[in-house]
Amino acid sequence: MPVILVSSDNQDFKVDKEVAERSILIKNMLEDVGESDSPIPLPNVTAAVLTKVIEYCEHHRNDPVQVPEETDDPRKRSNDIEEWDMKFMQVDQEMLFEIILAANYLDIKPLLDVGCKTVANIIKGKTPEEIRKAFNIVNDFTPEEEAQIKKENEWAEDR
Amino acid sequence: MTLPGQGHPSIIRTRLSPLELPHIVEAIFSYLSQFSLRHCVRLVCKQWRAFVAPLIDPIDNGDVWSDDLSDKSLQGVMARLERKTVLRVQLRLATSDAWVASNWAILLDTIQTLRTKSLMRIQTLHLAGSLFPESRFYPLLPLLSDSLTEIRMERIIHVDTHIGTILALCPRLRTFHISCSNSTCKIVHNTTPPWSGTPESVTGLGQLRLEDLKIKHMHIEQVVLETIITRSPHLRTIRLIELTGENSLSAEGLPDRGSLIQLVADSCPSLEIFHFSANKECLTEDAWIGITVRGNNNTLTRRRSSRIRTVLESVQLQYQPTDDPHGLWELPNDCDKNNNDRSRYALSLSAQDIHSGTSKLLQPIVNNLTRLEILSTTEPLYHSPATALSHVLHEYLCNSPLLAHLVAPGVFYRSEYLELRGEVGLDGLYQPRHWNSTTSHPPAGVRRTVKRVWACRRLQTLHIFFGSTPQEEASAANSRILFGYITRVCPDLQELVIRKTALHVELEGGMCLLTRLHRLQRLTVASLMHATRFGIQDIEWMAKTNAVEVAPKESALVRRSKRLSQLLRHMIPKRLAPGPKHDIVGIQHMHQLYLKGKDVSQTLTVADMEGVGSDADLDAWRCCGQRYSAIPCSSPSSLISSLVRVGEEPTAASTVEAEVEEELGEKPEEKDHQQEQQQQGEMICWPSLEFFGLTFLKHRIKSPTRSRHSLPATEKAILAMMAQIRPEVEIRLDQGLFNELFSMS
Repeated sequence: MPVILVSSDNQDFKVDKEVAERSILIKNMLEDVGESDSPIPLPNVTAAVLTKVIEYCEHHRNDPVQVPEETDDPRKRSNDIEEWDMKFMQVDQEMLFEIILAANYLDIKPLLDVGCKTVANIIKGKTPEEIRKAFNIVNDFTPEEEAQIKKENEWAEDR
Repeated sequence: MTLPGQGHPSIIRTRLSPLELPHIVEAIFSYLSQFSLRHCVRLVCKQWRAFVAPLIDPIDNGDVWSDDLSDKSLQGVMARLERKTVLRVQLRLATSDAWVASNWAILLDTIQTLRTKSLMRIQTLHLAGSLFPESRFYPLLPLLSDSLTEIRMERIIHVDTHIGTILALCPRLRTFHISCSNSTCKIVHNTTPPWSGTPESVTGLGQLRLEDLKIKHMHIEQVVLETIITRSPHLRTIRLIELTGENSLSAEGLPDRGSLIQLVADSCPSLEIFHFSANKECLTEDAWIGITVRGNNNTLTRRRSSRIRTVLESVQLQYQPTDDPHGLWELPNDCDKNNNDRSRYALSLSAQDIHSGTSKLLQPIVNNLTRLEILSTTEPLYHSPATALSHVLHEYLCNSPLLAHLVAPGVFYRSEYLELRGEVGLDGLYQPRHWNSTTSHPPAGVRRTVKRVWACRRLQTLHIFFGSTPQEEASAANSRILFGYITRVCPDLQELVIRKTALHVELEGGMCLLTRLHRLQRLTVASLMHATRFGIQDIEWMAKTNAVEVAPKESALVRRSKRLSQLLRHMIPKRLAPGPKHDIVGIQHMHQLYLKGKDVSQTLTVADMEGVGSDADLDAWRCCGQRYSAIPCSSPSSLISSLVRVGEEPTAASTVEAEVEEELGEKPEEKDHQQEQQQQGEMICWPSLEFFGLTFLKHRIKSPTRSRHSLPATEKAILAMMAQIRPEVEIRLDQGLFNELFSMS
């Protein structure tokens, strides 16, 4: 049965229920309203972003539901992104951030994970200055504070 | 902090950035290394420093507690324990029992105190050494049980290890590795107290959290293995290496491969790697091997649960090879090699299981693997099995286009197979350059083979151990060929670990060619290296050349000119600066071959490997391949004139580059390549590098060390230089023992 999703700019998207339910938010909404043809408004997601999100959900429609991992193991790998997902994430930074926000809002954990891995890969191998430049972040440290942190690192490693 | 979407303060911002949401930022940072968090991320801005603070582990600087520590050393190690996440215990067989007892008592007391104060952070216990004092070890475990997720026991000599007790006492354990140096050692499943004073709460095993299990060179009964496996549904890797029989001299009592594989297939849906090998029993032609198959997504023929469900397939080696190159798993018609939805096949074997009876039968299986792991044995270097294995590995590499991960750190691979300048003999087989044509004998350890190039163009992970004839071993040319070959054939490598008995790591050795691996994240080189002449010129090419970009308003031409002149001034090592005698056509040809190699969908021929690692290849790297190819050049003359305008003499190098670009600039396909290179950040040397490790192996050192204070002065100087050039990269210089080269499983 198809479901109609409405983006923040009032565009309708007709998708299979199975695809829409990749989003836990939508799944819960559908369960709450029961059988209904009413469109589901998504006021936080624009049509452009929703198109991408639906593309992802279509591709992963047959995936098993992800079992939440226990989080006491801090070591995770960001280089195990599947090829399709990697290509899917080859978008400009603005769109990447929008997809992450949409995945967060719609509660699509696998998409959120891939988005976070992609951002982590952008950070990897960059100096602080390069990271600031990549994300347009202003350095609010004073030179003294910066020097202090570097000194702490040296001190910690020299023990 | 200013983030995308933020503008003038008077403008009301309607959109958040994900970098402002703590749970998302924490998720992003969880994928970064501790080094990156400590040295880069927390220096970005105050908000990020605050986000990172709880994620940074206490520093572990490699302290080792041992039972023979002096009082003073012991006090220091104990005082630092509260800042550690790793406890390394070395058992040295101290001469005085009283001394050992006293040291153990102090260790237990300290841990007990930390536990009482809720300061215990130890997650990993490394236990290495000889006699295994169970009466002291087991009482330690309950004190660590709240935080311990990893136990590694190496070179243990002990009759019985009570794995049931260990697993019961450490319910949070994710990783358990145990290896023995004495083949009479056994693992027994015992959850009842094997010593006096066991806490009474120890009960039978419930469900375990184990993800990574490795047992090496020990005896374990089938029923014990089955108990662990059936209680560990989260297992991702199982490595049972060189298991021994009940009696170390026979294979009697070994677990049954076939039934074990079936059990694992049924019990471990997350499995990624399975290894089973026996000490006194090689794989036979009718034996079973376990191959993990991870189906990929969205193929209609697969069931809903197929994507991350791992199926352990039992494949009989009695399979008859045919001419069908796809062998066992013929790819579906609609799934070509470029398709993104390939399944992943992984196989782990022991080196001793690849022998004359199985190597050819394994070939069609290996042809279709995406991951191959060959764990080493302790074969002597030039012993015939090692020679044969080297040849087999070469054949596998030349026949496996789908292979993405090769982990064979202890298999001795002859670098002569990469040397393609030799002749093909009358029988159609290749004769390496050092072939003695008068006697028709190949170099010792090299087998005659078809002259071919590796087919594994999509390799992402390569752990390999190279060797050559003694006369070639440490030559710069030998090292250059090795580095050049890897670079040209496997441009997508992300993780590269090279071990070689002798390797030329100075600039002439051509390690700089590896900078063409733009996706490289981790690089480790271990070798008997002589660093006495090592200087800044040998590593300055590692600098990120465009780390500091010019102001955005500058024109592209000015930017290009400045960068080029800066490079010419600083980055080209003088001793290799091209002079007027350089062969422009040769350089251009090398560059074109390199560009061709970047398309991994193409199979490379021997002709495509021409001049690999040669002087011209190195010149092409310097003039075109590495630094300058990404600089689009609309007019070579304008480039040179702009150089002159900024006050630089047009050097030989700039002329070479201009001429090369003039040739290349006419061809649209080369422009495409250039654009692609720009997209991939080709201007930057290793843009994603996280880790760079150099291990200087010695024949004899006091003890292997990771402490920077213990390094010799030359190595310390290298470390300091590297840290200055690449502050964002975790750089580790170690000393290791030469023998470590042969015990890498």
